[in-house]
This record gives sequence, structure tokens and C-alpha cells, in this order.
Amino acid sequence: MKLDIRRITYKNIREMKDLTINLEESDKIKHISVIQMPNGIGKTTTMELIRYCLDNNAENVRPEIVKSFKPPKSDFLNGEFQLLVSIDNQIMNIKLLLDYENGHILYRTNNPKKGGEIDGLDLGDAIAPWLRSNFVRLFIFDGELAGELLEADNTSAENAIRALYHLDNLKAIYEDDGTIDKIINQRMLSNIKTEQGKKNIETKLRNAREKKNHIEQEISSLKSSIDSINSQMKAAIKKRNDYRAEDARFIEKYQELISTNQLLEEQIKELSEKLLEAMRSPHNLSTVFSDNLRNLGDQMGKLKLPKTQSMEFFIELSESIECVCGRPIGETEKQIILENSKNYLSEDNIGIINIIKTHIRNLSEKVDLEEEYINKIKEKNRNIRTNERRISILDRKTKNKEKIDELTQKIADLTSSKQDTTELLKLYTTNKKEEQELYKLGWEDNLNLCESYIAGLESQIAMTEQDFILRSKSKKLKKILSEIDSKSMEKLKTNILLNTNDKIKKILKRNEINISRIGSHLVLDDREGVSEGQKLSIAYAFLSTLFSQSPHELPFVVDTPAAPLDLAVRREVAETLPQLFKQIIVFITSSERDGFANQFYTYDNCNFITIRKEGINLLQDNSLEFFKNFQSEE
Amino acid sequence: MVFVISNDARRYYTKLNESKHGKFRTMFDFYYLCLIAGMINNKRSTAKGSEFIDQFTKDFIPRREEIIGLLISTEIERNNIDLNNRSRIERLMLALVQPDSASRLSSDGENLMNQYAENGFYKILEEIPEPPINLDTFLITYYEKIVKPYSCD
Repeated sequence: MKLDIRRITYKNIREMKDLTINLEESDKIKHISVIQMPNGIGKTTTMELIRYCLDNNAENVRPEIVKSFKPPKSDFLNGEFQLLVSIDNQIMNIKLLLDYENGHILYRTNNPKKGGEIDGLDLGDAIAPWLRSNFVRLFIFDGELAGELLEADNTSAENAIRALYHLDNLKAIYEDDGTIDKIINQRMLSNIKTEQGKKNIETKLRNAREKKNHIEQEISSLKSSIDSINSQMKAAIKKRNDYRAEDARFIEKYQELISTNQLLEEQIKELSEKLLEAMRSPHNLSTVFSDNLRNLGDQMGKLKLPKTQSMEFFIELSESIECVCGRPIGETEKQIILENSKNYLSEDNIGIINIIKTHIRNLSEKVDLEEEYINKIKEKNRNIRTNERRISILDRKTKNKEKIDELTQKIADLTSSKQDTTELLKLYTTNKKEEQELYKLGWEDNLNLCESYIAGLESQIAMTEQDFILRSKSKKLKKILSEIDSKSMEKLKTNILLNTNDKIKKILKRNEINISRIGSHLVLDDREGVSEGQKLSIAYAFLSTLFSQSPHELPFVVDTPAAPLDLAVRREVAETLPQLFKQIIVFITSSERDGFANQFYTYDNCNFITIRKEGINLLQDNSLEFFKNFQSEE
Repeated sequence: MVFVISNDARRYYTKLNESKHGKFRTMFDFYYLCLIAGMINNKRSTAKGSEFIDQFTKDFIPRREEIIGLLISTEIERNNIDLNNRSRIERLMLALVQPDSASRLSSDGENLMNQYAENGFYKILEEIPEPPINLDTFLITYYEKIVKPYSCD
């Protein structure tokens, strides 16, 4: 990195309401710029503001400090400080906008590479990492640093080495101020950061797997139950169907018997009517009747009953004058004939008796009532009774109804049980999100959710393991970096120690001051103490050694560098500094001209600038003569 | 004179005729069976019933002469009339029949019939005290208990 400061511009800052200090001439910077100004004008302020311009720390400055930059007894609300610099041959203007009202500072940068003036400090990605406070205060020299370098328990010396060689970044990594862990945590796949956390997840995973086994057993058990219920239902349905079929057969037989009996009853009725019809003829009832009737008929035939001559024949004959035999019929004969005519039947009687005789003599054959009807009726009645007994038996057998009812109830119970079991199984197995939500199922209730939960835990553990590997690698890296830092620092310190001691000898010829070692601070050989001038001399020697070996080309800006030094030391410092830096900007008071500033009067490439106050105005004079003769009122 | 039947016989008949296995077509059927039972018993009882018909019903018209013949035969036997005694038989016939009556029987003939029937009903009541629910049972029982013993004698 090559950095030089071209111009400093103030507006409404302390005494400098409108001031520009040019440190270049014809676009070339002066090697040495000695800026003389009385105390109270703004040397320390200038140093601070230059540092802010480079270390990007202005926005963190406390408001009361910002407000202290306001010109005394003024109403200015804002101030402005500009630093025109060249970084790696690129001109950039850094602007600090001071808000006195609110007590804060804003940056604006005119970086041609970024297309003009922009908000914020942007000096380019290659430069920004270097320009940190610890580093900037090495070359925008903070006078307090000189004391700190020798202070026990102060790490400024070591920090300075690290800052210059960028080992502070390395140290920040291996000492792990949290930044690395923060980065690692951001890259962590899992939110588990401790072994205990990992163990907790492993315990959860173990429990979840046990739960999964339990759920699988439950599912298996429920499936077995459903199979068992199905078998029982199948058996019950079959049995019930068998009973029903059996009953159906009985019912069929029953109906058949009923029909048969109905038919038999019809037949009996018919036979009964025929029997009655036959019984209406007395000769069919008994052979005694038929024999008696036949005998009567036969006897009537023998006795010529009824007589062929009727009563009417003799009455008619009595009226005749002679008989059918030719004898005359007188009154006496007539009376005898009429008297005897009474022994004869009338024609009507003869007719009916003839009919009776004819009828009983022509009786039809006796019907065998028993064979024709009675036995048949009896047999049919027997059949009816037999059938009735069968019907009764069937009636008993068809009492499967109770069994059928029992089975129907059992089937209903089994169906209900199956529904319940199926529902339970569904809760364990459903992978439908809406059902899982509806029944508020958790991973402990459902196999799919449990498997997802396990997968999640497994993934978490896998990620945790990766995280742990990353963390382990991080630790190893820190260790390696620490070793690099340690070894680098050791070598650098050895080298810097030798060179610094050489420079101290040159600067402090009459003082036997020697740095015995560089720890966190510069440790001197058996000395009780050193003066402020000696401290400053050791600091210059140390810093000049650092920068002489640095890969950077930086300006050296210092405030009242010679005040505490005696004249001899001033001269040595004045001789040494120009050799170390390509640009030196020195703010001095008039008291530092002797022994120090006057050493540069013969230099060609040197600016001598005097800033003085006249009344309320601040005046600038750039001539050597004025510089030499300026006496401040103090 | 007409055919009469007692109230007891009427009740017996009514109950019997509730049979589902056939029915008597008319009360004359039951009267006839009572008559036969009386004739078989060869006994008469005083008829104390009321008239129910004055002639043989349609079913009996073809057997009317046979039944009258049976009555004559029964009376011949009851009166110990010699079968060769033509005139007594002829007189008996003249006494029992009356060609111009509806029943073709004289009132004596009808009276005899009623007396035999009345006695026959008691015979039935004796042998079959409770009227069976079925006609066939009655007819068969009637035949076996009243008619058959008579025939086998």
C-alpha cells in the first residue's frame, strides 16, 4: 500500500473556520511538511481528525467530543474536515461532516473508482482491511503510544508489530473474540452447539425409535385384531347363513307338510262327503239292512204284493150285470163284491208299494264303506297327525332364530369393534395431513409423523456431527494460526529488537539504553525509568525499525515530536525520520524549531507552514523566513 | 205329522256341523243317522222335538223308498210278522205309506220314524257324548260304534 496526504481542509473546526493546508506542489508531495502553529489552534484536533479519516472510526466518536470541535462561542451547526489523499496513486478526497447539534460525524468519500462522491468511507477493498485504529495510530502518530510501548502489562509494542504485519488479524482468529464462532455458528447446520445438546438429541432419537417400535407393535397388534375380527365375523356370518339355510329347509319342509295336510284335509272332507253320501243309503251301512231289504223284496215277489187287482176293479165289477166268468151279478153279489173290495189296495197304494218293491229288489251293490272311505279317511288322518308331529319337530328345530339373533348381535359387536380398531389403526397410519391435523396427532401417535420426526432428529444429529467436525477443524485452525503467529512474532521480534537497539544507540548516543526483549511491551535492560524524551526516542526508533521493514509506503504524521527531547536527541531524530518515511508531516510549536525544525531548513523538498491567529482570523504563511521568525505569543 | 227333532239333537247337530272337514248338507242328514241308530237299536222313544221338515230332502229322495222299505222291514221284525203272511204285510204297508203325503209316509209312518230317530239320538249321545269337531271323525265313530257292531252280530 502506498499512501500520501496531499491537502488538509478545515471549515468551522475549532479556530479554523476556513483553512486549507497544501502539502503538495505541482501535484508532487513535499517530503517534509513542518506546520508551525501555536498551541490551541488545533494540532491535536487535526491529528485526531486525520486518524478518523483513515480508520473509519468517526461514527463511533462520542457526541461530546464531536461537539468539542465546534468553533468556540459560535453558532455553527456543522463543520467539515477534508483530507485529500493518494492511495496507490489514486487521488481520493475524504470528507468528515461534523454535526454539532446532534454530536455525530458522517463520512463522504470521493473515490473516482466508485463514480464520484459517495456516503460513507470507502477507500477500496484492498486498503480498508489495513486501515484500522491500531495500525493508523502507528503512522498518524499518537504521542501516548510512546509511553505505552514501555509500559508493563501494555500490549502496544506487540500490537504495533502485529498491526504492521497484519498478524493482529491472525491473532483475532485464533484468540477467537467471538467473530469466528459467530461465523461458524452462522454456517452451522444445526442449532446444537454442545455435547450435552447432542446427547439430548440422541436421547430424543432413542426415545423416538422406541416409540416407533411401540407404534409398529401396536399397528401389528391392531392388524392382527382386525384379521381375528374378520375371521370371527366370517365364521359367524357363515354359521348364521347355515342356520338360516337350515331354517329355510325346515320352513320349506314345514310349508310342504302344511300344504300336504291341507290337501289331506280337503281329501278327507271330500271323502267324508262321499262317505256321508254312501251312508245315506241304508243298505250301504249294514249287510243286515241290505239283507232285510232284499228279503222283503223277495218275499213281496213271492206273495205277489201288491195285488194286481185294485179296489177300483171290484167296485167297477159290482156295477156290472155279469161277472167276468159270465155269471149274473145280482144285488147280493154286488154287496159281497163291494165288501171284499176293501181287502184290496187302491191303485195309488199299489203304485207306491210297487215302487218300494222295485227299489229294494234293485238295490245297488253294497258299498264297502270301510274300504272305500273309512280306511282312507283314517289313513289320511294318520298322515295328518304324522305330519303334525313332524311340523311340531320342525317347529322346535326352527328355533335357530335365537341362535341367529345371537350371531347377528355378535356380528354387530364385531363390526363395531372392527370399526373402532380400524379407526385406531388409521390414527396410527394415516399420512394425510388434514387427518393428522383434524385428530391433532403428534409424532407419538402416528407412524408417519414418528418416522418424519426420527428422520428430522437423524438429520439434526448428522448436521450436528458435521458442525462438530467444523468446530473441531476451527479449533485446529486456531491452533495452527496461533503457532504461525507465535513463530512469526518470535522471528519478527528478534529482528526488530536488533534493529531498534541499533537505532536507539544512534539517537541516544550518550545514554546506554538497550531493549533486552520485546514481550507484549518493550522491556529495557535494568533501568529504573526513562525520561519522556527517552521514551519518545525509543518509540521513534522502534517505529522507524518497523516501517523500514514494512512493505507499505506510508506518511508519518506527528504532533510536537521534539518538545520533550533535548537538542542532541532532536537532531538525531530529525536526521533519522526523513530516512524512514516518504512523507513526514510534523506539527510543531515555535519552541521546537531549535534542534529539530531547523535541521530541515536546508532541505529542498520541504514545506514550512506557519498558521497563526490574528484577532479572530487565522492566517497562513508558507515562507521559510516567516517560519523562522515566527514567535507565538505564548 | 212331519219330521221332528229334539232340541238336544239340534244343539248336537249345530255343534257337529261346525266341522271343517265336511258338513251335513241339511239337518235331515243327522236326523237320518239318528233314525238308523234307532232302527239298529230296534227301539223307539217318544218324539218330543219340533218339526224341521215335512218331506225327504233332495239328497234322500233317491233313497226314500229304500228308507221306507227299511222302516217296513224293521216294523215287520219288531211286530214279529210272518213274512209269508201276505195280508199282514200288506196292511202294515197300507198303514205306513200314504202316496199323497209329501213324505210318502202316513202320519203313523212319520211318527215311527220320529220315534226311532229320537231313540237313535240317545244311542248316539251314549256312544259319542261330545260331538267331534270333524264330520269325518263323527261318521267313522258312528259307523264303528253304532253300525259295525250291529252288522257283525
